[in-house]
Amino acid sequence: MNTREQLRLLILAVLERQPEHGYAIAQAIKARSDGLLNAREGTLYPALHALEAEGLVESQEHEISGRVRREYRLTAKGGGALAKSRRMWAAQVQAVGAVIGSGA
Amino acid sequence: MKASEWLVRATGDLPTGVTARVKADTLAHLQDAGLDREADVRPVLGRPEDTAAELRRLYLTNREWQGFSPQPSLLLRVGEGMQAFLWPAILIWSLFEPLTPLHGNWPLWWGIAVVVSVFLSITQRQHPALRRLWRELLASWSYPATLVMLPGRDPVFIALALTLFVYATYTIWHRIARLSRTLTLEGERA
Repeated sequence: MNTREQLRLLILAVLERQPEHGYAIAQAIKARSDGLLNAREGTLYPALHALEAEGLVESQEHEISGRVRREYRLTAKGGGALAKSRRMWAAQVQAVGAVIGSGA
Repeated sequence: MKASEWLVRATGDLPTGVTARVKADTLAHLQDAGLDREADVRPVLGRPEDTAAELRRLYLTNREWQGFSPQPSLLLRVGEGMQAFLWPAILIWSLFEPLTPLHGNWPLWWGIAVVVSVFLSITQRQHPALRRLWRELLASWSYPATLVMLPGRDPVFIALALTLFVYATYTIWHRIARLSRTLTLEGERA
């Protein structure tokens, strides 16, 4: 799984909990990983656009206290893609773990 | 680097609809991050070149988009007309050339004829730019098909045909995907 695919997985996982706008997605990734994962925020939107074009997320503009925000929501197809990506990621982690060991 | 400069570098060569969407997303993001328009945005957004590369992978550049003009040149229209006749020409050729796999194989002959007709009919209802690319894809398949149908069917020709098929399908499919996304943001029906 390359960096682009990892970012897609992170976005889908964040949106699984609830619909969010772009900034909140970036903050959620940072907060849940204790700051270790820092989504390159300039490339967050191209990733969201690609996910939307594939029908994995959908978006809608809302006006919140005079500010227009685009909210992204996971679709059923996106839920399926997330489950598949999670399985792939788990298999990769297991494979790498088996090679590098615990170091003890 | 100020937000305005960052946006110019990230979206400079993209069509207006795509630029507007990226600009709206990015400015809303910076507002949420509490950055004013004069602040250096690179620590938050990263290098604009990285974003530009990702956006060009998703959308057509302005130059490519302009190339899909609603009034194509006469030369382009002649080329498209010839492309539309490639498959019918192959089907007619196979009626007279006994060594082609289609000759006398009426189920296969009619199968291909029906698929080509349905394909042309479906694409007729699409946006002209998208129709042009779908038909380019169909026409591109005629070259490997001709190689496979050459008398003797040398394995080298078969390998060449397969390579051509995969390469043409991949490149044109990628352009179709980029054009479809661009059409959506340019407010045109794909």
